Formats: sequence, structure tokens, C-alpha cells
Amino acid sequence: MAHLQPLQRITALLLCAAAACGGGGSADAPAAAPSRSGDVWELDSIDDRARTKAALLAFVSGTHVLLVDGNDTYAGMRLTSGGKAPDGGQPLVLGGGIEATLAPSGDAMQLRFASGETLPMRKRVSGGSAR
Amino acid sequence: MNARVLMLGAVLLAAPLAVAPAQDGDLDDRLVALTYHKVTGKPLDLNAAAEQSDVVRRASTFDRPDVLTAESARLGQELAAVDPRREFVVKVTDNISEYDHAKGEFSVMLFKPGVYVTANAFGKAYQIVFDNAESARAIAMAKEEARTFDARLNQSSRAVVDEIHFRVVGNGDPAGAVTGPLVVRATITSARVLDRGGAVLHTPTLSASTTASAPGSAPAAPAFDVAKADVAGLRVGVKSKDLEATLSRLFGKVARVQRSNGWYAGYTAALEVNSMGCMTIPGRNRGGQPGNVCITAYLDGDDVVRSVRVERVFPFLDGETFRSTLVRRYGVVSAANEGGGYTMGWGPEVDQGLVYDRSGPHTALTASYATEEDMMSSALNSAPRIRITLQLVDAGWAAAKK
Repeated sequence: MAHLQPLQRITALLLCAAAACGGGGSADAPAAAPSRSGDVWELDSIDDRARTKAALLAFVSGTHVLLVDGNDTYAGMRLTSGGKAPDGGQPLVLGGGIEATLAPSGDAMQLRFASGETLPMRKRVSGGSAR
Repeated sequence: MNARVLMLGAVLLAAPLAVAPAQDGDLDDRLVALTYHKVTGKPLDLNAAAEQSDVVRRASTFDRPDVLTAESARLGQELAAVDPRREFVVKVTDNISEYDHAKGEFSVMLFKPGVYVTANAFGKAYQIVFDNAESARAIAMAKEEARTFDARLNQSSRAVVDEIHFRVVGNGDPAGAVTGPLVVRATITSARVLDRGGAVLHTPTLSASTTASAPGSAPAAPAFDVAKADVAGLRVGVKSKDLEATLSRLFGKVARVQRSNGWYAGYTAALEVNSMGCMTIPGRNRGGQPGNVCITAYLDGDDVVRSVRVERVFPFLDGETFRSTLVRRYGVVSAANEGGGYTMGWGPEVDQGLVYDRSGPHTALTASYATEEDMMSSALNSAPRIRITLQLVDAGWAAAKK
């Protein structure tokens, strides 16, 4: 195992702190979503009553509509930067102790709450909007 | 001897109704009510309260004004002398649930969210809820032990008596399930579950902290902090251009609307997305459909967002799902109200003119549950759609404007 030199170690620690050590980083300060870059993902199967409870949890946590721009994900004005796992899953920094991960699922995405609920997310077509 | 009846908050009426018959108890309802007013500072109408007393009712028409004045003064003195730390004891007839094989536990029905004990005083019903009830709810045991316990419960049709020692600590149900003008928040200091013969069946281990989330759900959120709060990820106190950019990208076209009559005095403009899309309007095809999202943000003269309201329409979901999910997100509820819909509030009180649902609660953050029906769904007797509305007001800005 390679050992880090002191300077490398400090740099790694700073990077780790910036990315909240794998959990994704987020300041409490609100962030505006970029005007053009990234893709918007929204809840799929909105009429599915079996998923209504999870959809409500997504709504109140701001994850019912997400903007993914590289390593940045916006849940409303709440930004999670980095923290992506090798499989592409990104733990989102949300309010009120709610924990969720946005993970690739084939060509789509899946929102997985730490409490066990999962929701399929679909990419919004260009020019589309929430109804 | 006072009757003690378990009641269930209206929001939970879809769940099995837990009502127990009367049981003996030495609870002094008047003293509970007086302690509630002392602890909360909520005023007690001494004249109205005195009018309910036997001494006033029995007085002749001639003597009644003097008796009323004297009784009112006596009540005032009694209220002033109340010890707010007094401990009360009540015994309530209750029942124990069937064994939950998945969780390995029985439940004490009184300690489930939405259940309360009534104290009648001064012609009014005071609803007593216990803020640490969740810690007393479960009777956990392994299956073999549970089989014997279950057989013992069946001998008495699962009826038990809860002996509860408690203190009055405030106003309102922290779980938001019990609503009304006189909700007494109490903390259980000790409790025992007894069989009909008085033998102890179970002694709960109590937590001092409030547990407001539903059984089996994730732990409740940390204490609500209005400075860091958001509704569906949207914040107040931000420049309108930042919110507008976010709304435009996530939800589509944003309209800027100038001030109109009836708005709160501090608002000068608003940003709107799909403003009428979450209401069912006859003749309109896409109003009030599940998945619809509608947003209104009010701006002050400096173009800063001072209030944001976000709505989303869902397929039917019950009030308990709404309650438990919102408590999980925002924590202990400050106040709750049921009228046309069901609304819970968090954070400091704000001017009534700032709140979307004027019937209250008038708090910085509110979450409302309302049904959306049209003639077609009513005629087909189908489950209504549900409109959830979250509103956040910049309480610090509002307070500074007073």
C-alpha cells in the first residue's frame, strides 16, 4: 500500500472535507440551478398509488424533481456536490435528517431513501416542464 | 370518580378506532385544566369558567351576580396558586394489540399517535396527549414468551388498565395528530400496564425526549430551525433571480406578477409557476391532476424572496401518511388545525396575513392536506386526489417589519 506524503495527506484531507468524505458536500447556503447545463430528472409513475407515500417523501425533501449536472445535483436550491460512488450512486444531502441516494438504474435513475423506499426517476425531455 | 375515555384524533379516523370504556381514576380535571393555563399562559376566561360552577348555577337570580364575582375571583386565586410541576395520576381502560410478528412486539393502544385522554373542566373538553408516548407504546418480546402473554391477554379480551403518572408541559400535540383549541401536552413520568385484577403486566421504559413519528417509521427530524428550513428544497431570504433560475430550470415557465390588492403589505411582486394547475376547476382538463406542481413566491421591495408556497397533487393518500411524513421531515409540530383540510405548523408565529391558510396555524412553516374532487370522481365514488401545500415565510423579516 502506498503511503501518502505529508503534503499529499493534507491535500487528501482537504478534498475529503470538501466532499464530506464520500457523502457528498453541501453548504447550508442556497444555490441557484444552472440555466442550461445538466439534465432534469423527475418522478416516474406519478399515478402509482403504491408509491404515493414515497412520492410524498420525495416532494417534501425536494427530490421529486432533480437537476443533475455532472457531480452536482440540485434538489430545489439544495446542492449536493461530489460524493459519487464508483457505480454512479450519489448520496444526496437533504434537510431534516432524510437520507437518499440517486443511483443509475439502466437508462434511468432510481431514488433510494435510507428508510427503504425506492422511486423510479425519468429524464425530462428537452423543453418539457412540470405540469 | 372520573370517566376516562380514549379518543382518536380525527385525522386518524381511517385507522381502527380505539375507544375504551370508563375506568376509575382520581384525576382532578379542574386542576389539570388550571395547570394547563398556568403552564402555557393561555388565558382562562374566569367569568365563563365560574358560570359553569355548581355554586353559581345554584345561586338565585338575585344573588347570582355577586356569587359569580366571588367565584371568578376565587378561581383566579386558585389559578395563581397552581404548582406547574404538579404530578397527576390517571387510570385508563385500554387494550393491547395483536402480536406483530414482523416487529416482535405488542402495542399499547393509548400510546399510539392520535389517541388522547379527555379531561372535562369549566364546560370544556381538554385533550391530553403524551409527548413521550411512543417510548411507552411497544411491548417487545420473543415469540415463545409472546404466545403465553397473548393467551393471558385473551382471557380478558385484551383489556388492560394503563396507570399513568404525568406532568403538564405545554400546548398542542407534538405529533400533530390531535387538533383542537385545548390540547394539553403532557409528559409521562412513569407508567404501568395492569390487568383487570391490578397485577402488573408491563412497565414501559420511558424516554424523556419527544418522539412524534409514527410507529415503525424513521426517527423524527431534528428540532426545526427556521433559518435553515426549506420547502421542497426552496428557500426564503434569497435573491429572486436565483429562485427564478432554479424554478425555470426545474419546473418550467416562471411568470412575474406585480402586486395586487389583498396581498400582505410588504410584498411587491411574485413569481408564479403553473399558478392554478393544482386546483380542480370545472371545464379545465389538466387542473388538479396527480403530478401537477404549482409554486408562488412573494418578493419584497429589494427583490428578495420572503415567502414561498409549493403545491403538488397526489393520488389518494391518507391523513396519517401525510402527518407521519411531515413530522419525519420537520420534527415536533408547533400547532395543528382541522377545518376544511388539515394543516400542521412549525416555527415562530407570523402575521395571519402572511399565511396561505388563514384558519391557521399561523406559523413560519405550514403543511396542508386537502382533497381535490371533481364531479366525475365524486359521481364514480372514487378516492379523491390530495393536494399537499407547503409554505415557508421569512419569519425574521416579518418580525422586523412589525
